[in-house]
Amino acid sequence: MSDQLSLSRRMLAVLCGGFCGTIARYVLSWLMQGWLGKEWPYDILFINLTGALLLAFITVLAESAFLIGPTRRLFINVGFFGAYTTFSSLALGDVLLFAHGQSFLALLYLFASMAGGVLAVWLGDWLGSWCVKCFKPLSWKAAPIEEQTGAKTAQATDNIAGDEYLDERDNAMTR
Amino acid sequence: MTLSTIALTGMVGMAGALGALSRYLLGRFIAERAASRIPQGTLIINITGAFVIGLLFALADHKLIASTLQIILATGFLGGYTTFSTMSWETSQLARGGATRLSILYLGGSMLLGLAAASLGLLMGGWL
Repeated sequence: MSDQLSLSRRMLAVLCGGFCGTIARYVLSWLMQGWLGKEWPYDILFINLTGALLLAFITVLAESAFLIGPTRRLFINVGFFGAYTTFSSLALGDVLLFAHGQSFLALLYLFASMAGGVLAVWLGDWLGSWCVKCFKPLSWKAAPIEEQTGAKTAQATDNIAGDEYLDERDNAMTR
Repeated sequence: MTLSTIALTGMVGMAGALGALSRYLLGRFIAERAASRIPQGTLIINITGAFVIGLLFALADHKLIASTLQIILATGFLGGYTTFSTMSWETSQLARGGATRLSILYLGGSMLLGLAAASLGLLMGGWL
């Protein structure tokens, strides 16, 4: 049974996630600039790296259908972390560093973002797989598996994933 | 916290929600048509967003738009529209799928084109 999520429901999930993610970035960036000053864009680097890590972490959980269903995934991944992290401020911040003659800092910022982003994704993947390995068997044990028929097992996984499924194309997009 | 700070935060959030929705819809639209392994949707979204943020910065610098409007559009809309997390994730997926060269091309290309687009936006905003 793979009934599609309605477009309006998906759009609403992305809108709500985007709203929360943008405010989280705005407030956190404002706080960090208060603590550390505006000299170097620590705030955007921190936000981008934590966002990349958590996106990968949530994606692993969602793919093994552990705790995260499709609507939640759209809300969290596409909406929240998509809006929480930002590429435009990174590009502008870097160009401004170059323009002010701080080429070394600009290059450092650029490479820390690029390499750091990929490393953060790997770390998030690893943490996510670890969580699935450690905690998913527990939630399966909680479900009744006395009758070990294939149908029962399939039903149990359906319940964990929630009752809605995305089509293939959308699955690729929501990552 | 004053009332105007709260109002501005709310406006930034709403602009970000619209930015995220634009990214989702445009990303889907491009993904349906693109036939390359390179995630063109995120690439196009990030480059256009970088161009516009440069433009807005220059316009605000020359006092052609209010700084409040710049915050709502740049931090809000463009912040929600462009994304770093998806770009990093797609890079690592390409590398994991064995397309290491393509992943480096994608990441390096995104950054270089993004910086070029932001510079172009700044220059164009300066001319206006």
